[in-house]
Amino acid sequence: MGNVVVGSAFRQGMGDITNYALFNAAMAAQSYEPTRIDFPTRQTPDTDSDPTVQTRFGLSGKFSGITASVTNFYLEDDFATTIWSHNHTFNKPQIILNELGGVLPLDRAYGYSNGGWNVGGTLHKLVQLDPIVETVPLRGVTMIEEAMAFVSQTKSLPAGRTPTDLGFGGWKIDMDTFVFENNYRSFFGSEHSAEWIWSLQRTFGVWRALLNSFDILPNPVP
Amino acid sequence: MKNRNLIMGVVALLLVIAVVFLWPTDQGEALKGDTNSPTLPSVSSAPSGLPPIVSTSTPRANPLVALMQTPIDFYGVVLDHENNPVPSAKVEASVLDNMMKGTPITTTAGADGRFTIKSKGASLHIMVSKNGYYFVGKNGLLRPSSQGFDFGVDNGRGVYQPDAASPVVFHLRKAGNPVPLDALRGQSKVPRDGSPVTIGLSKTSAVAFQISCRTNEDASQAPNAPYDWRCEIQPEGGGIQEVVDEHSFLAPSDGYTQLVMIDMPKSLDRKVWNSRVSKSYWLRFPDNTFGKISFMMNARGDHFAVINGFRNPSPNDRNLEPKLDVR
Repeated sequence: MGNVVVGSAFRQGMGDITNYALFNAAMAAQSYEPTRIDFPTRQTPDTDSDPTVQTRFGLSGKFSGITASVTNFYLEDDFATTIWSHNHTFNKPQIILNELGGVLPLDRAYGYSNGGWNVGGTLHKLVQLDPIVETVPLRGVTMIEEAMAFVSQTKSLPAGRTPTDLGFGGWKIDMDTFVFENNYRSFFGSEHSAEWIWSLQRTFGVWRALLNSFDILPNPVP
Repeated sequence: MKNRNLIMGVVALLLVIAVVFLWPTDQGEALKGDTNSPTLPSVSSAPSGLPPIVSTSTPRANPLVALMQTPIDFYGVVLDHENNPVPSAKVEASVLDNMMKGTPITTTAGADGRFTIKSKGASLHIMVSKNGYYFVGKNGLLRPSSQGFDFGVDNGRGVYQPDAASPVVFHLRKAGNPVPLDALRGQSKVPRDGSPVTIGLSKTSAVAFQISCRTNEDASQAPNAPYDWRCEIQPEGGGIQEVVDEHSFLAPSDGYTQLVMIDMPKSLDRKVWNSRVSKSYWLRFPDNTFGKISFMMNARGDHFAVINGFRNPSPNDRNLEPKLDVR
């Protein structure tokens, strides 16, 4: 969520940011780098025939206007962002499910279709569906926040799983095989946010890389 | 007062018991009593703008939960850098079998380097290791010592297909002949106007580097806009050349130049241009000793360089394999 919040702040004009380091970013890589496509056959708002729908409800390029030096700390096998990716596969648009496998009173069903639905005489491409008869639209989705949370499916892996500088010409740091000074290495494997869980001694290479990404010269290794 | 509290408590207890035993046990049963009621779950109106309130007695299976139960049959083999089996290699795996965190699995490769993992889950991450062997990273011709695999559905890199006859290869690099080496370490801010700075690299010998950097960074540009910068690296009195095989410990006998240059014009493709560069270099010093360093130059803001590596103090000995824990 952190990188979604920061990205939104950039979109709303947050300035005076020189350096931005993304750690395990659970946000579509295509939001930063529009050419990054890992699921080319998916039909999403990004592939809609209506450019207005693409621009408003698509994920592509939403954060590509970031005006800072960007470093992407990624982990290809991160289990948390793996689940993020599966969630997009199965739950975007969201179906009426929860983690218990049942249906709660507040669960919602959503749909996206390039053909759209006629809701009260208006054509809507993104809709909330009747959770019982899932072909029946209840209303159109008009808020971008609701679309991003429940409808818009990614066509790329999350940035935090993708070995890319996200198109910003900055650094990309692989946290699984990151080789540090004198052959010290940080093997995060599939551990999400290991930098917060494991000891500093085990992860200090990544922390030093973070300092470097902020243009800070770290203290010498003793 | 005490008796009154006791009576109130007994009454409350009786009420709770009555509610528990008399409450309808199944809403579906209640609906069946009304022949006009639909057999489907009821839907009641919600305030304008909010979703309808839904109830149902027929929960559906969550495909994510089902995915976590995908059978895993994985076949791997651990080989050294010459493709010989690495017997008894340690295999540390983590299987994604729930929505919270991976479950660890540990096994050992057989005498032929082969191992098998059987489990259930959506993804599997495997890392192999053995004392006396080095890890292999993701760049280069060798297969990395740490790899991940997906099961059930494609998650951007295909679905692993089990094949016992063709196991997935994990490489480890066998340690050769480690020798005592001197550490080379140094770091310094670097002026951006081309003025050279000298960085001492050793506490035991007069090994030094000269670095100069010239940057035409325009302060009015956007923070991530490219600009021209150029850096020259020169070991004092020695030779330098870039490392091609990161896994090699044997310094080349020739091919050294007096200096190397990193040239980063802003006209470069945006995917190539970078304000920071990390490279590895072989070094040959005036006393004909050899070294290997990693060099990082940061040419943004307060420019700085960080150098780390080793030097074999014995003249003419090009072996730069350090005595280190393989981890």
